[in-house]
Amino acid sequence: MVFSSAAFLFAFLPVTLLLYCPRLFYKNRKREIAKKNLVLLIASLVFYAWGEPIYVLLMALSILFNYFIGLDIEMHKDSPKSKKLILAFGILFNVSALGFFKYSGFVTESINSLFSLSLEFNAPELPIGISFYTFQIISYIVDVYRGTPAQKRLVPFATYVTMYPQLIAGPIVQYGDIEKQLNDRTVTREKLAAGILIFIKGMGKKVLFANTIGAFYTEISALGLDRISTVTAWVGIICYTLQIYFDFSGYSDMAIGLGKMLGFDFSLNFNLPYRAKSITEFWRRWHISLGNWFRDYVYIPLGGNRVKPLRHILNILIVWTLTGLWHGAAWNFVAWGGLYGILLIVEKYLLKNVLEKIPSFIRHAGTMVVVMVGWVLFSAESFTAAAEYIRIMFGMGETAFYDSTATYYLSSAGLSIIVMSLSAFGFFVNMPRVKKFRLNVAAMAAGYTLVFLLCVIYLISETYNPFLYFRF
Amino acid sequence: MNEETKKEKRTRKKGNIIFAFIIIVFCLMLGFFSLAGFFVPDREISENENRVLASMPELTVSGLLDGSFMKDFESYLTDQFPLRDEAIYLKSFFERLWGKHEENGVYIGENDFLFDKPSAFDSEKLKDVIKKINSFCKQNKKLKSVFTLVPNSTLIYRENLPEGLVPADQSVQINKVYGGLDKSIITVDAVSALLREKSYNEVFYKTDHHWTTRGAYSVFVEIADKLGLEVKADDFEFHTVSNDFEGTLKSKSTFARAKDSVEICLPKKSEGTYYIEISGTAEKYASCFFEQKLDEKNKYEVFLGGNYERLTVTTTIPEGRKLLVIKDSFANCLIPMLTPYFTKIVVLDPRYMTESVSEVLQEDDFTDLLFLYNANTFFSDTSLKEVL
Repeated sequence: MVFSSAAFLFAFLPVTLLLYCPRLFYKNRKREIAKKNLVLLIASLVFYAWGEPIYVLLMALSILFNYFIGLDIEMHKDSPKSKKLILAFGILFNVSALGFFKYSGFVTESINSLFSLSLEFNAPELPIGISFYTFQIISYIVDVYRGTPAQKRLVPFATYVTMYPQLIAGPIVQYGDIEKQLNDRTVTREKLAAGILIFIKGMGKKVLFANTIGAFYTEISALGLDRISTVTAWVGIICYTLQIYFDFSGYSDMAIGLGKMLGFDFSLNFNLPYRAKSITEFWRRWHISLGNWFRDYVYIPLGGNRVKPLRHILNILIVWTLTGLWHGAAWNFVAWGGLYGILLIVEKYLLKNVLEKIPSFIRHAGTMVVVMVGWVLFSAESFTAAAEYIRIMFGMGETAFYDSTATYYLSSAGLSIIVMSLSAFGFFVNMPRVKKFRLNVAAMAAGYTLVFLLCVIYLISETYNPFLYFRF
Repeated sequence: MNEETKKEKRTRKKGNIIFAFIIIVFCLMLGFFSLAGFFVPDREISENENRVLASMPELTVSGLLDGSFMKDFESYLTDQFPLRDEAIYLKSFFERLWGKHEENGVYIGENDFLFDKPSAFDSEKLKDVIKKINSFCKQNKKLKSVFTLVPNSTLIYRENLPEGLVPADQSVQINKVYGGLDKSIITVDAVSALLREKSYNEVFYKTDHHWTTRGAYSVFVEIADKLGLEVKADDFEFHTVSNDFEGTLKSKSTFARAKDSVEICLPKKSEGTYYIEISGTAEKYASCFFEQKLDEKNKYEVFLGGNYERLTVTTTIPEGRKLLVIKDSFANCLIPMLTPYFTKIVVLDPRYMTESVSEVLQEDDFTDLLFLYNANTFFSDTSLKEVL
């Protein structure tokens, strides 16, 4: 189920909120939380089974296994050796499961083309959200290894893994950050209201912005590379750049908002990434929870930056190749991650003192161009197609600089590009506010209600409603 | 100190009012749309969208396990959503506000013209289809085979497309298909015929994806020539039967203004009278025109009444030629023009067929074979390959 669907909004959400929110008969706080966790767990399983009726069993199996691993690690907390062994076994299991379901097809294909073999292998379908929940589970067992108390009861642990707001597209919540909330949280009026607003904002980003602008990119990329002029290529990739931001950050907002409605505080996942003035800054603002995960569970265990420069460079490359691969099982994702790894190394070692001297608008523009070239790699169907697209963007292709197709897309998408770019750059964040309290509230209420109703209108009349981040 | 706490208290109160307000409004909206569905009766078809709406799926174990129940339930909710038609209308309005030149897959052209988005041309996929056609015609050498691919209005009226929009050239695509066909198959240049006729009459509807009867007639003349039929300039007469046709393209794009006229084309001297039979019904009809369809929304169905697996025209011409037509809906307004020349015409629509064309061929001693497709269907539909 996706959040922006009639089934979620008008069947699933009202029912779960009704079951979840009232205190019912419990005076005892502990029992109230226990009931809430149980309701949330059942709701999340229904939510997952709605899209993956079979793979829900795989998830359940994985939860059971890791629940015991967690307990086992804690039981051996005084013997570092066996503790390490159990952790290694747990990680191996989880990574193998992810590897089998996500990468086995890719690996066979690569081996086949590398050694010109023709091994036949029917790759399994990718279970939705496996990349996300596997990372959350790994976070749990590592955190327990590092000393966070293991979850003694199965229900809260299963709730942590399956929690439907972030189950299928993040943000990735680390166990240490949420452990306390699993055992004690309140749904205050303030949280509920804030959650509603964040949720509506996210839905607006996804339904009104991402889908509208994404349709142009889909059309332009369907034109074929021989019919794309330089200007059309730029319009296309600008549209994709906006689409992927609003799509993904909209989904994160919806997740954070839903989390708040349920009493959880997830941390920010996107912080106006297109405002970044360097690649390092971009990745501090884009998909923050993924960056943090790789930092805490890969980069730092590898030694981070407290090692010799060469080892440090290697660490960065490992982390970024893995980050690329996490985004999809294909070589262009590896290249995309690798590209960022190299750029980060260049920024850290070569441009350290140069960057500061460059005027900030040039740094900003340069960062955006690099990011957009990155998105070409990310979105392309193949390596060669991406390379040709980039050649066209920089006037080295076979096609013209400008043609009538470019006119068409400029006039169709121009207004959307301007409005959405301003929004992505954070132009509307500090809107001037009216002094009068009532007017302010009225304007805000009207605005959010309008966005919600518009989303409903779009949802029920739109057949084009795919989430980009479903390749996980 | 006292002053401070008072201020704080006021902000807290203010805050609480806002929060309560937000929660209540949100719950009202969720509640309204969740419950409204229960009170609005389900609709079977949508006049506006010209299609059958999804109904509540049956709950079965297999449906739950393979996820089809969930998918069907979601389309049920969306299709039966209260105020759906109004929502689609409003959405189109906002699409136009953004500056888009298309609504729901329809291009909004100049001079009230609406255009169906052209289908993608996938030469690999078409190779298979062409191969099938070639081998089929080779197996049936005694048949005179004529192949006609009709372009769409995006080619013929391209000057009315939104500014700057240049779809891939359909005439090139059609010639590619023609080039791949066996030499024994006679091809018809529908593009030139329509471009010539266009300066005298409208050859496509503005609000529908079909060609007009005049457009069909101009291509019919070419087909007749290839088939060796003797058609004189004044053998047919045209009658306008409706002036308020609002076609499927208009249904999809809510802001179009135009209306179309529908003409029918009648042979002046009907040399052979005829009756038609339609697969699935026992009735016989004395005309190719279904007048009652003119009272309905989709007035193009006046021609043959719609699309069927098989439609048979039997005329009073003794011992004449027998024609087999394999077609899509574009042929519906052209079939009546063929009736004075054949003893029997069997019209097959592969999209609805359950048997193969060869099986039909064996039923009678056919002399001629006509393929008649519009380019969009031919490029995207896969059913022809299945039945040959």
